[in-house]
Amino acid sequence: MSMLELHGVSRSFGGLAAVDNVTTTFEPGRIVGLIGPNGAGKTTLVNLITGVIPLSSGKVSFNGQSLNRIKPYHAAHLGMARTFQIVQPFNQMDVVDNVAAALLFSQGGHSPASARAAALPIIERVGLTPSAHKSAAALTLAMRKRLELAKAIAIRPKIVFLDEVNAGLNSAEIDQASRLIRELADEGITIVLIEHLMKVVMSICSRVIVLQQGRLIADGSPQDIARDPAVIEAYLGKKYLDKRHGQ
Amino acid sequence: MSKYIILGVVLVGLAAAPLTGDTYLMRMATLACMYAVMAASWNLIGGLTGYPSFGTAAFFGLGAYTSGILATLGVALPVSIAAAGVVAFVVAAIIGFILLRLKGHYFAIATLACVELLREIANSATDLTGGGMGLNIPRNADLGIFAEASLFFFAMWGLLALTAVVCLVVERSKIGFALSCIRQAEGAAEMIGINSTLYKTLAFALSGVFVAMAGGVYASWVHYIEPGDVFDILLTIKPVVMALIGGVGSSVGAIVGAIVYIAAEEVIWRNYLDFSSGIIGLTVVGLVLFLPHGLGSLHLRLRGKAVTP
Ligand SMILES: Nc1ncnc2c1ncn2[C@@H]1O[C@H](COP(=O)(O)OP(=O)(O)OP(=O)(O)O)[C@@H](O)[C@H]1O
Ligand SMILES: [Mg+2]
Repeated sequence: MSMLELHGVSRSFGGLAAVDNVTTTFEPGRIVGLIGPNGAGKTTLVNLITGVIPLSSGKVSFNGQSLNRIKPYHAAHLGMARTFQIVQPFNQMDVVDNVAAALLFSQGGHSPASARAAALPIIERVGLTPSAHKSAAALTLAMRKRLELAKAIAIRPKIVFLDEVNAGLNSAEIDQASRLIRELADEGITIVLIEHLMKVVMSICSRVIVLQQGRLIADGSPQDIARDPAVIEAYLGKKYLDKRHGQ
Repeated sequence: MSKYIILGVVLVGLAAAPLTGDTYLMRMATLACMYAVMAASWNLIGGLTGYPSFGTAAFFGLGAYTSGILATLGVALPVSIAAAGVVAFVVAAIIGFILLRLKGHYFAIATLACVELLREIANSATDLTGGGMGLNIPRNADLGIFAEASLFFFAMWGLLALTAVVCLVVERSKIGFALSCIRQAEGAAEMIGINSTLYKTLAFALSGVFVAMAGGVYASWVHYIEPGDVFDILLTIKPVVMALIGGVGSSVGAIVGAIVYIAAEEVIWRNYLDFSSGIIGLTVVGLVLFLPHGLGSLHLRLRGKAVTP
């Protein structure tokens, strides 16, 4: 039995099949890249798994438990975390309270005060300590992405969906984020990385799955995926192919 | 810290009203306490949670009729008022559970419709409520004018003290933390494990309880209620304005806002009888445009500082 299993997961909006009959599994402690062109259904797939929107059809189970009709807060209690592609900080709170909220409501045994204390090491880990007492609204985009990551870590997840956490970051910031993602995987957390930057996908993922128009069109090692003609055509485009041959 | 001092001063100041021996002043103080209860209650759902409820009058009327009907059956005042609170909690929880999936003006309009609905029920359930003829509520005993005024003042004052304590405890507690997260980003709040439906429903139910109890005290105080009086739309709108005056999000602000409003309304009523609602309307517009964070932010505004919530 895998940690997370999807069977024929589908969702349509009106006539549009945003996610179309996706069947796959996720194993503990691995970094899985989830790639595909814009509008392929990546974010929608995460929304389906975490209960943000209901499935049109199909089945999702997590450690053997069915997640159909689950609510997002319940997904969090089961150990699923996600960051939002469009960051959603609690803008009127400081960084500490943002992370403390995640600690307080995802697991028992905390008071607001103890959650604030426990938030500090997590904030340190994502490198936000100098801004710990700034309001989230005052952070730069790069910092808000790190805050999303800190909140995801704070719920002590078994699996984390990272929806383009590197978009808009510079290369030093991306290296930093990649290192942190590797560390989390080493701790046994499954990472599902939605990412447009192929460099990042190639360097940290052990497996890559590819969506196109809602369908899962490829699943394999980064090297296999990079060679797969269907993927190259659908997603990477001819330019990437030319560049690879030119190297 | 300072908000506790302000609250203490306000409560002690109001409690001094009976010392004046002036029944007119006591009537105003009783009204101020009643509206302060309603404004602080509204703040729980409208301010803290960010769901602009226009259902305040529904719970006021519900409480007035629940308590009033029980009083006609001979139930003692404290019991009938407690019953009004319990009934409102249950009804508000049911209404909240259904309506809190709506947001913004959709939620506002749906809660407003609840006022109309309950008013129509009160109008048509003639056997129970007396319908449009109204309901007479018997006096407990012949206490004399001043003693009776004192009784109802202290009932309303005690209710305000209770409401203030509950609101402050909620604000500081885990519940308040959750409500604040929900207001700022509901999707993100769910994703960190907050059962938003549960917390929103709880906030809405709590916001109904004290309003209904105030309605219960009011019914016994005035001895006669009718649907148009206790389901009056002004009972919905005024608490919102009061919370705006105090600065949305702060229960102490809402309480201060209620007192400022009642005092200002009285002055305006006396001096500009014909144009009083116009002046109230202009005040609201002025507040929203120039002091969106309430009177508490006035000193910042005067010093030209940016106001962050
Ligand atoms: N709530 C919704 N209502 C209607 N259509 C939607 C909704 N959410 C997503 N879609 C549509 O579903 C398709 C998949 O969108 P989705 O956001 O999942 O793509 P994505 O792979 O995450 O793209 P991107 O790389 O741009 O983030 C798109 O055509 C989108 O317009
Ligand atoms: Mg997306």
